[in-house]
Amino acid sequence: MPYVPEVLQRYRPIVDDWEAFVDALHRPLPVCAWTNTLRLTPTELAAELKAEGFEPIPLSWRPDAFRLAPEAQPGNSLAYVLGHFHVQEEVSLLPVVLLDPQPGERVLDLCAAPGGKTAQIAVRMGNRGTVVANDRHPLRLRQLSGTIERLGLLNVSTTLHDGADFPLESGPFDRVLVDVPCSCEGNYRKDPTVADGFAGSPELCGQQQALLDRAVALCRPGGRIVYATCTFAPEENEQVVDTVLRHWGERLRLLPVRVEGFRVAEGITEWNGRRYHSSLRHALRIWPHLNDTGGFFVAVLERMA
Amino acid sequence: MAQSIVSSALAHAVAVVDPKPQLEYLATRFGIPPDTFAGYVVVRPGRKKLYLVTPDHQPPRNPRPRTIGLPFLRIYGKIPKLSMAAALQFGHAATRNIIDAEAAQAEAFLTRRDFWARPEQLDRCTGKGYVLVRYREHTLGVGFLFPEAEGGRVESLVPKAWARDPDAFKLRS
Repeated sequence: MPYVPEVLQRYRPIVDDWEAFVDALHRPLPVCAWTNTLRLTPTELAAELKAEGFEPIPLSWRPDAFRLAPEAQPGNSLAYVLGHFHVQEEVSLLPVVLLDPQPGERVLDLCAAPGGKTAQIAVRMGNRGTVVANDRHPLRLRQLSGTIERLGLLNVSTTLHDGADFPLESGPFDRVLVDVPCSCEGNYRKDPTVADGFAGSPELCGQQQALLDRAVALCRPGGRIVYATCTFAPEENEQVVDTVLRHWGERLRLLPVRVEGFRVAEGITEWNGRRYHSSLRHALRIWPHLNDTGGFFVAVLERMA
Repeated sequence: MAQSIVSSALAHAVAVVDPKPQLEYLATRFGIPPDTFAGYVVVRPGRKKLYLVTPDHQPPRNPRPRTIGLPFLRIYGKIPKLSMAAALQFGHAATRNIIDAEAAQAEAFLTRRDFWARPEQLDRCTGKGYVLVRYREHTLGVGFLFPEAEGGRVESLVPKAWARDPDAFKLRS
């Protein structure tokens, strides 16, 4: 059996197929490119990518996005410079599909940099309405602006603020994406040093909880909140959602969701002797072997009142 | 530019600007019809740059947005400079001060190096100043033309953050 870092060993009891999981961790990650449909169609992009010597394979669950070989460097093509596509890990397309933003709505991306998900939201809204993209790091916010500029997004404002303390008067928003800073264990295939182990640290979890809590407060009743991380750690995933669900009580619920053509595992309802809200089984755990991607966690919440 | 109905939240959050002088400049220098920007609002969130945004946009007042929409023109110089983002988005509407680059020239431009334009490539240029560089009908961005007795030097104004790595970037010819 190939090497598995100590910090990932603890997930053995909750992974359905340990051998497949370990095997996936050691495979290089495919590159993924999604179409800027404001500028061209997926068919046109596929033709451009082929002409550049790539072999784009449309994703079964997102035909506007393409899988490329792990060694592909599409950022060095004319089509990239022209803003015809964006390069982003396949699993990072999931939260925006589940956020499901609609044209004309007011949407907040609370921890937005480097901006790939902001861009997906803006494009799905047809370059109309309002996307507020916030981040607390000025340099990373610059990177986000670069993405907005290359892709030609006219419906995004950027703000520099601590997300956990984002002013309530800026709301309400129809939808809020809260893609929190995390221990990034799910990025192991790209960067094995992520397994150096601060997963589930109380400080990090406290920050995540404060961010999700503020996201709920900023959302209008009837609106949707998507909480996402790229880690396997239940302390940063189910436990954070559990705490916030308990805080909001009947005013907040976890929605059962599925994405056709994309394999997911249920959220867990017990970890290290602590029981979570039973609805946490509706959360989605994405283990790397399920779709040959990075690891991810998503919970879709609805504010009831 | 057709007057768009501006959301009150937008007018509260940022200074909405009358774009007439800027649109006249773009029409004079590049032949871009002012109507190209119909349906957008021009705003000034900071000192140096104007931005283009959709009229139904509702940014917050607090926190104060750093950017609102797409950078349009840098206005603190003597002559307004069209942003790279606006050149990519609206450059197709230009009819003059355009240079159709060949592959090697476009590579130089995108890797932030100057290139030399032959006299016949300057047929649509009216003189020293900003030009749009095109390659295969695509506008790549903004350059600055210094005409000489024969042809001219085109300085690449591709921002550092956009510049491609000369060792890795090759255009298909």
